[in-house]
Amino acid sequence: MSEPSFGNPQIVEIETDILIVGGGMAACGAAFEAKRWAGDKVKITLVDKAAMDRSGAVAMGLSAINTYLGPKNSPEDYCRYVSADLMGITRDDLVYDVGRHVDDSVHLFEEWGLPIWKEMEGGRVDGASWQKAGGKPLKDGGNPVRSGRWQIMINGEGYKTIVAEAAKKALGMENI
Amino acid sequence: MPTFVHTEKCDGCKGGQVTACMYICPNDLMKLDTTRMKAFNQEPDQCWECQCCVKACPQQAIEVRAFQDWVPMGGAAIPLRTDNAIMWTIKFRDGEVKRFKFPVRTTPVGSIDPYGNKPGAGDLKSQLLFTEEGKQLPKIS
Repeated sequence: MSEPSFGNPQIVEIETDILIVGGGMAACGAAFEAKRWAGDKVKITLVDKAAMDRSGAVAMGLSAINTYLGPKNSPEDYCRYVSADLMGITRDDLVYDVGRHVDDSVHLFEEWGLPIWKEMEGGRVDGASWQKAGGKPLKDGGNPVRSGRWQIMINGEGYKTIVAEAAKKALGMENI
Repeated sequence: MPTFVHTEKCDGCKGGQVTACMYICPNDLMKLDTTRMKAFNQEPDQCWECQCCVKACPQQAIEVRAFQDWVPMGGAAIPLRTDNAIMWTIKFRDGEVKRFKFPVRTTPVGSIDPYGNKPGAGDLKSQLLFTEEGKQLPKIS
């Protein structure tokens, strides 16, 4: 056998109860949520072709979160926006569900360390300075900087590294 | 266009089996030439120019051959990342250099406690995520 390489990958067999394929943002979210519900008796395995810190579409980061409702928007309005944006070819039930759960996930990201810009008295403050300036996190009524009605601005170069750390710890590195 | 390695700076991560760039590449493209102890991009066509290996390299030995629309010939855009900030050095063709620094994280690396202050698993049949325990979800009447 020659050494494992691009065209000759090493094959490992693992038995597991739940298999999460890929390590991007959706997989990290699934890992975090599933492990809490499943408990310690269910084995959850996540497989990723490379490093979770930088895998998937958010590998190099993002400068905004496309959807954050906040107190002033309703999931119904979000459905109308998505439907209009995609010329009516949407599943309103799924979009509605995203709309009513998304803020909770954004609050987690902020708690874990994602810098989210804040609109404060005297102007805009970047994602790492609002705490020193006496600002509040989003979940306690902090006011995000908007770019359009739905999008909020972040310093998101480390977005994926942050979410990956939470998912890795949730599952345990031996299951990744 | 892909990454390339400055071979005079690359030290093969001092003989480690998996170099920093091999570990971090989202596409598993970087490889170590174990004879020369220098890393290289084994599949340049597959490179996204995501800069992940550039940021991870402890020797700053990797650079992206950037497209002309954002880095014209003679210019450069080089990231330098620490645990809580990133600094981009932008070199213009006339020699002018500008630096831009942004935060990347507000908490120490490794400090996340995913389930620390969170509710346990509640009612599996409810539509709430476990972190939403006690909340009232909006409904369409």
